Amino acid sequence: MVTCEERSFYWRLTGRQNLQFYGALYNLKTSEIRNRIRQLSHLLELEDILEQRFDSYSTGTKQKMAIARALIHDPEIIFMDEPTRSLDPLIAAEVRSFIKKELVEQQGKTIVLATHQLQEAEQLCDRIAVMNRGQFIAVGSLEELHTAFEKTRVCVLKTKQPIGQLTPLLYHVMGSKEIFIRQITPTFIEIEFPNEAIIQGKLTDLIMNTGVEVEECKILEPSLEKIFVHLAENRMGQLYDKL
Amino acid sequence: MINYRKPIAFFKKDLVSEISYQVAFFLRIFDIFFSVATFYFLAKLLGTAASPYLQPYGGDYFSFLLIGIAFSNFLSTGLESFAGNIRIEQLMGTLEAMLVTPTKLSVIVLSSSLWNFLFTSFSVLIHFLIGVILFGLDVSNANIGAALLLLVLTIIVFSSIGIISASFIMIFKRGAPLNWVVNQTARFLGGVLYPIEVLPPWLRKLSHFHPITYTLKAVRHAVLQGYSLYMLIPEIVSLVFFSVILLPLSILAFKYGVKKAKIQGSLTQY
Repeated sequence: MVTCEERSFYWRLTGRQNLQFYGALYNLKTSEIRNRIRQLSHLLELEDILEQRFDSYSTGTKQKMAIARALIHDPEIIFMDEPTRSLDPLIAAEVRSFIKKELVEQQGKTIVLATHQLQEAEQLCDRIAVMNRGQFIAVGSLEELHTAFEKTRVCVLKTKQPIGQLTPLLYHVMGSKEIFIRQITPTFIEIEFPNEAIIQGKLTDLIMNTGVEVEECKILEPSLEKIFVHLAENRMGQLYDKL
Repeated sequence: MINYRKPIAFFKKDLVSEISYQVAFFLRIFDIFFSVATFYFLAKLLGTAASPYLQPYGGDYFSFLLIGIAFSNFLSTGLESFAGNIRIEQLMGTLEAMLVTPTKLSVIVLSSSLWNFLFTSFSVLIHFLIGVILFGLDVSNANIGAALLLLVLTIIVFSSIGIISASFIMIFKRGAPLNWVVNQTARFLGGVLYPIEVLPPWLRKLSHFHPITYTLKAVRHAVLQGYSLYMLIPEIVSLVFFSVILLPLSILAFKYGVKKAKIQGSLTQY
């Protein structure tokens, strides 16, 4: 298991001593531990710092050590709990690249990744499980989740003056069963509607003919974040059954 | 087959950690010197005043006191190391990382205490070496074999109490009332600083309920007067009796504590 918890090492021991200790707990022999440390330190570029005490390491190096510890016994399945949390963007990108290219593509390992960073999940994961309040609310590949989400689309509308009567007018004409409006600011709303060409056409015509000065009107490409928000708000809970 | 690599790994890890605090490590050694010196001059102050009470133990208060203080270290280690080490690993965040490995919690608990017991043994040895070399402690009659047997029984008894205490802390996270009671009553009733014969009869009866009373009496007889195992049978039987009661109890308490903490999901919380 890889956690972002840097406290889970012994700070007054060197990196090597820490790995030797955990290697023993994984029932590895001394020679096996020695070989694995050599391989992992080369892979993760830790060779120069292994003899230094853990408390002298940077956050990025500590996280690499956590990965090295998880790999010391060469497992087939690795659990990672927010492996890039607290890392600067450059190091976080390196870690993600290492996970994807080295662990998954090269070594064929299965990674179970827990993350709050949805972009990271989009970038790394082949299958995604969305949890809310301890329950799975959606499970599937990214494609499956996008397909499910694309059953509704979101129109972002920004106007030059407050939208005012536009919202009730839209509900009156389109019907509250067909659209859901989220007001962000007085001049910015999001309109969620079924992904049907007729409805999209009707909606855009209505907006253009209300006389409101439109600053921006665009249909958003769905992101995993939007999927999560809508799932969490139970707007699409029924889709879980259909995946 | 027992895997010795894990206890050895724990010992190495703790040894390196301790030595990394170089000043504190050597101060602990120097502390022993000052303690022994203090006992010597305290005994010199009392002179022969306490002799009637000390006759069963050879008559010398310095020897009596040194053995009491040195062996009561094993009492403290047995009581406090298991719970203390688990708490330290919880605070450090390393317990979770250990539990992910194929290592039983019982191995973690016992192996974490290995350094404490070995250092305590080392410090007791230093107590005696300083006593013998610098202050004329006479251990020429010592029955080392008997003393070692008594030591093993003592470790079993107080470790059992310590494990029961650790089980308590695993569930409730704070407080070790059992340790406090055993520790305080040891000093007051167990013969650590003075012979129990000094106590009024009704308190002396209470002393017999504390295992340290038998340990210290027997160790003093074995080390200062060379008593044979045969002569120490009453104390040995008493300690075996305590072991037979407390050891299974500690195993049950530990299993219950771990099960409860796992159900609560609080094993790594502090």
